[in-house]
Amino acid sequence: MATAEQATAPIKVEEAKPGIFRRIWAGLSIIFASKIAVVGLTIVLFWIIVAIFAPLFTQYTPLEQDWKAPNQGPSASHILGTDELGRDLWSRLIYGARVVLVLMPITENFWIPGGTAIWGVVIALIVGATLGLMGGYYGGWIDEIIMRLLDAMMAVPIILLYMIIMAALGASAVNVVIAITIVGTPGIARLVRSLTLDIRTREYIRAAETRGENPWHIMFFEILPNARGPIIIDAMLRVGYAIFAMGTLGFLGLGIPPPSPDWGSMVAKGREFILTGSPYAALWPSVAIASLVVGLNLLADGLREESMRYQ
Amino acid sequence: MQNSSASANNIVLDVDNVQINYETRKGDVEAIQGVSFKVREGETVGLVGESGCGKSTIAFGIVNFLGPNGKIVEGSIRFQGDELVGRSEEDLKKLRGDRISMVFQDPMQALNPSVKLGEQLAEVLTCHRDISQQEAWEKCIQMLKRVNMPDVENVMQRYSHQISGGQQQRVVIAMAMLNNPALIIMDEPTTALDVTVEAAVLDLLDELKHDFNAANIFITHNLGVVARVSDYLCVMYAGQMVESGPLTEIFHDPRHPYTMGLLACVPRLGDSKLESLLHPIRGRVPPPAERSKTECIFAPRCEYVTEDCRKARPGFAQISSEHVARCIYATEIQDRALTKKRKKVPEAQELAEAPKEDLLSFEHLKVYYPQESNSVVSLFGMGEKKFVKAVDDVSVRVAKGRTLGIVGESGCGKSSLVKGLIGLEPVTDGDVQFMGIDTTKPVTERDTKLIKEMQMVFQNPDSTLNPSFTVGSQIARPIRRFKTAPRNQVKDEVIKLLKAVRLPPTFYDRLPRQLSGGEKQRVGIARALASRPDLIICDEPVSALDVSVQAAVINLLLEIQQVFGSSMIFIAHDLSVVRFFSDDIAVMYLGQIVEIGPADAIYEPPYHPYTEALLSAVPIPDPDVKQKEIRLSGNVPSALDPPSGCRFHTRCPRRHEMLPDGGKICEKDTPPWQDSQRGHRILCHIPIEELAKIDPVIHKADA
Repeated sequence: MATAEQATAPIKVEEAKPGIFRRIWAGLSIIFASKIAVVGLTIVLFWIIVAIFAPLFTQYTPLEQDWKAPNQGPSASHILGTDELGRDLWSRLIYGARVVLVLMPITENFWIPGGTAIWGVVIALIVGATLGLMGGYYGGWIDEIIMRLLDAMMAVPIILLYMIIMAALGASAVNVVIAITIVGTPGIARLVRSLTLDIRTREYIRAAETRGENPWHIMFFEILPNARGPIIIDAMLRVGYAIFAMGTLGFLGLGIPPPSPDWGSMVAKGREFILTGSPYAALWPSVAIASLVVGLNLLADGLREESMRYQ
Repeated sequence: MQNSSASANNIVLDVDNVQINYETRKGDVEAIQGVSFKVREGETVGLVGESGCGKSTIAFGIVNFLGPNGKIVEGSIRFQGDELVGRSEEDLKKLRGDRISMVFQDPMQALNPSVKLGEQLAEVLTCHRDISQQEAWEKCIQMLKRVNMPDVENVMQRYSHQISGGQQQRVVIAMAMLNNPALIIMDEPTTALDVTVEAAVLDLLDELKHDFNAANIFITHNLGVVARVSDYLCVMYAGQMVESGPLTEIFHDPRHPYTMGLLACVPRLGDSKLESLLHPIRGRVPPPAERSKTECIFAPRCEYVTEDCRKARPGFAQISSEHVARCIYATEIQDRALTKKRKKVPEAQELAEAPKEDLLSFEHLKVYYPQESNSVVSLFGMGEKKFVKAVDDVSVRVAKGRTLGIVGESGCGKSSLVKGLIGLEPVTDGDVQFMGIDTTKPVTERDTKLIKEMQMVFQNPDSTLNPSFTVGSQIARPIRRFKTAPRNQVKDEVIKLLKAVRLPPTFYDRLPRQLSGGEKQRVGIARALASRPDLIICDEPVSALDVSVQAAVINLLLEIQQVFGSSMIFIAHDLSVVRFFSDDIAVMYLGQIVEIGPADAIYEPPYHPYTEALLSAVPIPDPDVKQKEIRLSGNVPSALDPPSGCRFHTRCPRRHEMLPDGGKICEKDTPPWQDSQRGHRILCHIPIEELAKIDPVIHKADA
C-alpha cells in the first residue's frame, strides 16, 4: 500500500504521528527485553484487570453475607472460600484491589478513578519533585532549608509516622493518601534533587539560561523530562511500598474503614481464625499484597537493568 | 630520525594482517580488519585516525585486553619473534608491564588514588622481578628524576591528586619505563593536557626514545602531535589501515583520499580565513555494523569515488618501498588532487580595513568567585574572605561584524569571562557596554531585547541539546520566546534555520540521540541563530569534534557570519583554529589578557613571552615546520592567590635575560600596556622594541 510516492511527500505529517506510538513501543520493548520485568508486568496487569472488571469475575458482591457458610475453605461456589461472616473471599479480594489500584472512595458514594495507592504516590511525586527541583536547581539556603526539613521527616520511623498522621487525621481513604504523600515525599525529593544537581550542569540548561528562561520553565521543562527514567522506576517501587503501607494501616485498624473490602483489615479479621482451622481469610489478602509488591519490584528492577544496558 | 631506519633494523613488533571481531547480540562485528605494521627498536609508529576508527582496539589487541567479547580472528602479532595471538593469559601477564608497557590518556585514571605514588611505582618492579623493596625504591627515584620530575623524594610520598596533570602523566610514563620495556604503547597520552604541558611531555618522550631505544606505538587523533613524535605513520579509517609509510612521505605525498582529506581539513598555524580554505570530509565514520564488506570502506565519503571503487575492497598499492595505500587509484591520485588547493583568493580584504563602531566593550571587568573556607573562624563570618579571581581587570572591545578570538590554557578565565558577559555569572566589578546598554546585570534581570542579541554555542555536542525534545521544538523555542517570527510561521522559520546550517528539513522531528556529534553541533548553532543575535559567543565549539567534522563546522560558522553579519567571540585552546577563525585575538593568562591585537600581529613578533611559549608549544601538522623550543617551567599558579606584580613572572622565560637585574620589577609592579601598531597591545615590562627583536617562533625549514 505504501508506495514510494506516498513515502516521500507527506513524510513530515506521517513522522509526527507515529512518534507517540513509536515511543510507547520503545518503552514496551524495554520491558519485553527483560524476563524479570515481563513477570512483574504480568502480575501487576493481572491485578489491574481483575480490579477494573471485578463485577465480571464474580457473582457475589464483597458485602454479601452467607450466614450458613462462614469460614469455609475453597470450594466450587466460593473459589477462595469465605470469611467469618460468610462473605466471598475472592470477591472481597478483587474489590479490595479496586480500592488500591483503580478507584478511590472520597465519600461513601463518591469515587474517583485511580487507586488510593496510586493517588498517594502521584501526589507525593508532584510535591517531592517540586521540592527536589527547587533544592537542586536553586541551591544555597533554599536547598538547605528544604533538605533539612525533609531530613527531619526521614528521621521519624515510617510506621510511627503513619500512625501519628492517621491518628491525627482519622481513618479515611483521603487521609491514607495524605499519609502516603507525607511519608513518600522526602525520598522522592532526595532522588529528584540528586538528578537535578547532575542535569543542571548540562549545556542545554546553560542555553536555556542564556535565553533568559523562567526558572520554573527550566525546572519543569528542561530538567524534569530528562530525569524521568529513574523517577518512573522509583515511582513503581513506591506504589509497592504504598500498597504495603495501606495493608499495615488496615491491619492496625487505621486504614479505609469497614465494611469496605480492605486487604489489611481482612488480614486483621482473618488472623483470629487461623488457629481454628480456617487460615484462608488471612492468607489470601496476604498473598495479594505480597504478589503485587513483588510484581512491582520485579517490574522496576527489570526496567532499571534494561535501561542501564541501553546507556 | 634518519639514523634510526638504517642502524636499527631490529623488528620488535610485527603486526600482520590482523582482524579483531567483537561479539554482540547481533552477531560478530568487525572492529579491525587488515592491519599490518612493524615497529623497530628506537622508532615510533604513529596510529592516526578519527574516533571510532579502531586505533585503541589495535593497542588493546596487542596485549589482548579486548574484554570478554573481543577476539583476534585472523592474522598474527609477533613480539620479538614470538607469536602473541593465542598465548595464555598467564604468559601475557608476564609480558604486560614488563616487556610491553602502556601509557593511557587520562593519568588521573591510570594512577590509583589511594596508594602512594612511590608504592605504585615500586610495585611495577617488585611484581616482575626479584628485587628488594629498598632497591626498587631507589630505582623509582632515579626514574622520576629521569622524567624531569621536581622534588622527587617528596613526590614518592604523595598521592596522585596532590600533583598536577602534567606531573601525573610523567609518573605514568616513568612507571611504563621502569622495567626498560621493549615496546611502549601510548594511547593518546597528551590529549588531556594543556598545550604547554603537552609540549613538555612530547619533548620528554622524544628524549626517552633516544635514551632507552624502545619501540613506541603512539596513538592519537592529532596530526600535529603525530608529526612531532613519529617516524612512521599508519592512518586508520573505520577499522582498516588505509595508508602507512614514513612520516615525511605521507605528509608530503599522501596517496589515500582519507589521508589527503585529513591533512586538508585542519588549519595550519598561521592560516587565516582570508587566504585559505578548509576542506571537510563529507559524512561521518560509519559504525562497525554498517561497514560494507564488498566495497571500499571509504567510498561513501570519498571525493574521487568511481564505480570501480564499489566492486571490491581494495588491497594495498605499493607506492615506495615502505609506503602503501589502500586505494585503487593510489598511484595516480596525486594528479587529480592537484586541482584542489588550500589557497583562496583574498576577496574579503576590505572587511578588515574599515573601522567599525564598537558593538561591545568591557572595561576593567572582574569576575570573582567567593571561596568557602573550612576554618572555624570563617564559620562565624569573621575570617578573611577569599576570592578566586577568575577574571581580573580585563578590558576588550569587539567591533561590529568582527570576530574576537580568546585563547589560553585551561583555568585562564576565558570561560568565566564570557559567562560574566552573557550574565550567567555575576560580574563583581567593571563596566560592560553592549550597543550602548549597560550589561553587568545577571541574565535573569536583563531585558529580553538584550538577551536576544547575545547567544551562545556550546562545546559539548552531547549535552548541548535537551535529549527529551525534538530538534524542531528546540529551535522553535527561542523563536517563540523572542517572537522573531509570527506564531503560524515558526515551523517555516525553523526549517529555514535548518537549511542555513545545512541540515535537511527531515531533522525537524528527530531526537538528539539520532544525530551525530557534528549534526548536534549544527543544531546548537541553529538554535543560537534563531533569535537573530548580533553577537554569538562560541565556547570551544569544535574542540570535541573530529577533525573532519571540525572543518565543516568552522566553515559553517564563517558562512553564517557572512550571511547574518553577526559578531562573534570565539573561545578555543587550539591556536591554529583561533588564528584561522578570528580577526582579533586576545591571549589570556590567569585571569588577565596579556596580549591583544589583530590576528596576524599576535602570531608575529613582538610577542608577549607567554604567547611566545604558547606558539612554540602548538603541535603543527607539518614535519617541515620548525619551532623554537620554549618550555614553561612550573605550574599555573592558583587564581586564589595570584602572583604579585606581573602574573606571569613565576614562569616567564624571558625576564631574566631581557630585563636588567633579572627582572625584579616583574615581581613588584604590575606591567604597563605597551602599544605596538594597529591596536596590538602587550602587557609586559620588557620594552616593546626588545620584544620585537625576538625571532619568529615558526619557520619553514626550506624557506
